[in-house]
Amino acid sequence: MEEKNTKKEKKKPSKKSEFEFCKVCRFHHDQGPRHKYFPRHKDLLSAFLNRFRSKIADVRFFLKNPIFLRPQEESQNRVWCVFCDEDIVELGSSFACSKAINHFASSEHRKNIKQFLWKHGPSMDCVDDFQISDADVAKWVRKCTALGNKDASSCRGQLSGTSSDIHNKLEFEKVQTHYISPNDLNDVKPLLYNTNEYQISHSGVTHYGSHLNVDASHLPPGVIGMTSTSSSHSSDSIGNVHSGAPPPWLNPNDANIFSGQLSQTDMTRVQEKIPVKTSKLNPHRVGAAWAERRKIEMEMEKRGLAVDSNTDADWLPNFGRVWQSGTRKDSRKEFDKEKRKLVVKTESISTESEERRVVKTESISMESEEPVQIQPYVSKRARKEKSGD
Amino acid sequence: MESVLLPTLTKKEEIDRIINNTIDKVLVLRFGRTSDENCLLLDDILEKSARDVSKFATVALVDVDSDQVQVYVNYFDITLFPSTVFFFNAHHMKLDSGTADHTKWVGKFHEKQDFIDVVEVIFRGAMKGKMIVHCPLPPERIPKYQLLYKDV
Repeated sequence: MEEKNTKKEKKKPSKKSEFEFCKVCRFHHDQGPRHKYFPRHKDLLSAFLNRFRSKIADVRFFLKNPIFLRPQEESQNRVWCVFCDEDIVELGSSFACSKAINHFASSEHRKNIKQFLWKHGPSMDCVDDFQISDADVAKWVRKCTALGNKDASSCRGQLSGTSSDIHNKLEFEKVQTHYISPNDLNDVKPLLYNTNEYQISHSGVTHYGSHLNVDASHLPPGVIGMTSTSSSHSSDSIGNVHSGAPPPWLNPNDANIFSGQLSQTDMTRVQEKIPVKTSKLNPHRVGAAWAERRKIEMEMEKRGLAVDSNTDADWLPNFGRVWQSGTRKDSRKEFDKEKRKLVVKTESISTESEERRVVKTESISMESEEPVQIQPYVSKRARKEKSGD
Repeated sequence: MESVLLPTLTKKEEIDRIINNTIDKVLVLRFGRTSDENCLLLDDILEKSARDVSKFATVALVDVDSDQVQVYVNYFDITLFPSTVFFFNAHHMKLDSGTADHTKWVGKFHEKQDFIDVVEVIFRGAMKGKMIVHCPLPPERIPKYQLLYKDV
């Protein structure tokens, strides 16, 4: 018995380690190093790493296709590195994701990846997925320099003398952010970038100009790439604003493609977001049958077909009168009766004497009818309550 | 003084036509005279809210001084002015506002929103098949009046 107890005690792995926070699962646990083998943690880890893989993929795009970064887009071009727990902001960088590329190629980042995977992940296979090799970085740097040189030379050829400030700024130095203060709004500022420059935004990329090295296949998702690349290719031969060429949206080929694509996208968007309104109204609504009949009559009238108009001089709508109880048909009958009596009386009076005029028709009807018992008005609810009591 | 936005009806045929042509919308008929102060206040509110309710209601004014309209004044038992009667698909809609007369709204509205709320409630009730609806306004905003049977 004692041996069994000791065995049981040995078996109990009462290793309750201190509470620690799991970055992947986003909760505190006291499971210690065993936590990373739990199936829930494994699932969350794979999702976590996939998310970061997509971010790295975006950075790799800019690695293969270096693009100038405008100061306005600096704030949008930022990446959070989950392994190093730091935000990489492209302050003062001239090319998109340049700091991110340098960071992902650094040895410190490599070290942090290994540490992360050792702590959270069972396998260390995927280290290379999250870092950029030095060879790739070197290629990228060469591409950037080539890009910068080409751009500077093209600027000198096309721009006029008044834009000497632009010549200076467009060289491969870092462009300082130029904030337009409200006082300067009246002054005309020189362009920071040539109109041939790529205008980049994270949400959508539109490329204008003749310096595209990008193939359509390399464009990231969510980019209106297909149309823009075609437009840029066409502008290669046609020209640009400075050469007096027509804008790409007036180009008939592009206009067709553009409008066609847009209309398709618009249609899909509309179909997704706005549900199609059903024209079927509630068949039990008040006067539904009348409404349907009337619609048919109106359509026939529009077509020019003769319709039997039910709007006689004596037609009156369905109405429940104040002092009548019963159905609305009863109140209508009663009104017709009153009307007939009134007509008869007026005719008889007019034949007797033209000067006598009956002002109050109610008084005549009062005389001919039985004396009415005047009672105060009691609402239906009050009557019910009284009867209930 | 004719409203720019709201049609003023002086003949029975006009009233019949507007009742017959208003389909799947609430028809608000105001019976009153332009010389009456309360009527003018009500008209002001109706004109201002006509556009807001235009998708589910049509508003029209009826001049009670016209001879041809007297048949409707008698039929609807209108003794106090201004009175507002509601229709939906040529069927009269009743409004229980705690007053003696459920067949119409007597008096003016406190503000634009009150009128819009009332019309909305009538529309919702009508679309559900109800011919009488409860007034959504608090009692202090409902004009009080004494309803006399044949001036007694």
